[in-house]
Amino acid sequence: MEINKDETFLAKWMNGELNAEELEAFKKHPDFPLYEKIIFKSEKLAAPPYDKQKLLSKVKEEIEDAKKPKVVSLYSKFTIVAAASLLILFSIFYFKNSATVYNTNFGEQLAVNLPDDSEVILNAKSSISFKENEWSKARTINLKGEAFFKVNKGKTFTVETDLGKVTVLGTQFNVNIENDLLQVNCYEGKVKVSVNEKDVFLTKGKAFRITKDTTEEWEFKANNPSWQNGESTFNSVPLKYVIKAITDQYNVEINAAEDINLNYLYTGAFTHEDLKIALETVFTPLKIKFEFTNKSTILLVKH
Amino acid sequence: MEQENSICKPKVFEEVFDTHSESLRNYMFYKCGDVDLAEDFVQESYVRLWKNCAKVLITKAKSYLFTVANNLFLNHVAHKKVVLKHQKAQEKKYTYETPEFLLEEKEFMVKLQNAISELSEKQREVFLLNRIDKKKYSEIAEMLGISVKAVEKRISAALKKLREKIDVI
Repeated sequence: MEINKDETFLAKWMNGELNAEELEAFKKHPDFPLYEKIIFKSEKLAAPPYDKQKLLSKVKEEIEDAKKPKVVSLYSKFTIVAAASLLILFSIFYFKNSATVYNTNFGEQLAVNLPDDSEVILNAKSSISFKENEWSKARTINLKGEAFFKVNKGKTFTVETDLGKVTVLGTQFNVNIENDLLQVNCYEGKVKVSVNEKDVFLTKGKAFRITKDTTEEWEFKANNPSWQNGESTFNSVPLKYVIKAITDQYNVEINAAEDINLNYLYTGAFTHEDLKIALETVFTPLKIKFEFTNKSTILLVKH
Repeated sequence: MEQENSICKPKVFEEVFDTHSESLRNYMFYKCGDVDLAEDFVQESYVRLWKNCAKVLITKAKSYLFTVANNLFLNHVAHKKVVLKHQKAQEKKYTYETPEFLLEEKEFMVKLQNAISELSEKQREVFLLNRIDKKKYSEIAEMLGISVKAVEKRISAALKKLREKIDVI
């Protein structure tokens, strides 16, 4: 039978190309009815509906898009992405390089953990700044006002002030910088104070102070600065710095009469709790009267 | 020099689309069993034809389109396992046939569709182009760039395989 010999037989039959003889023979074949049914039924199949116009407009659209000159927009996606990345990079760079600053206001205290877990406690009206990203290279802090430092062991730790530098290796110390006064108290370890190219070394319980024209060294017994316990303590400190400490602590203005000696060396303490008590403890023994000219202004006059 | 029937003329291009896009689309559908994908191939083929309109003679447009589409299909890495869901040609709303007969017919159509999906891609595409799109063997040969005899062989093989599959089921 041709169906098995001729590889194109079925195709020819389906296409009506068989001669009468061949067709008659094939009709007697047992599979003929099924073949006939297959070609008859398969003709009734259909492909999914086709929307020719829709596809044509898609093609046209794509062609139109391709025609347009390729002008790279100034604000192409790439540019925007690039600009955004740059901005992010820049801000990371900027913020990493900008100094970290901590401030305290009148009567405030603030404890700050430095990147190496060293601790700084700021007294009122003080500020520190340091560069966080350079911390691993150089532990350097800029100080205005007064702060107590608990330094972890490590590289040299430097406190820079307008008047001089305090460097240590790992210790606890207090630095107070007011205009032309710099006072450093060492509570543990060893501290080097460098002022005007002179170095002063302080060990535990030693303190150093430099004002405009005097330098002083003395010993003390406290384990931490009194201001941390709600008191400010002074040891032969010119009165003007004591007054400054009171104004920092209580946010008041203190005006002194002309005949008051602001360079009088004061030794004593005042509380941070109560302004009136503080004023009494400082000024009464000095025979100085204080008057409130208004809520936050105090006038000092000789008794 | 632009010829009379250059495909670069939008009107001619549209005619070429009108004439061949449906069978091209069906051809791709018989291959991959995914209408959307098939139409993507057609779209891309026509875009390429447009880009090369100056190089392709109108007489070669058809085989160009089918070749490009076929290449796109071959390059499409992840083609699905073909499960064709042929839609039935318009059904009559009424019938004089018995329910048993209708059920049998329905079952046969299912068998037929399953068998078709089991054909090889080459067998299926020629068979369906002839059955559904009513393309002559010579046309199919031209589209696919093969000889008429090759088409006949594929069709015969397809019929044989369909018969076997349906007989078994």
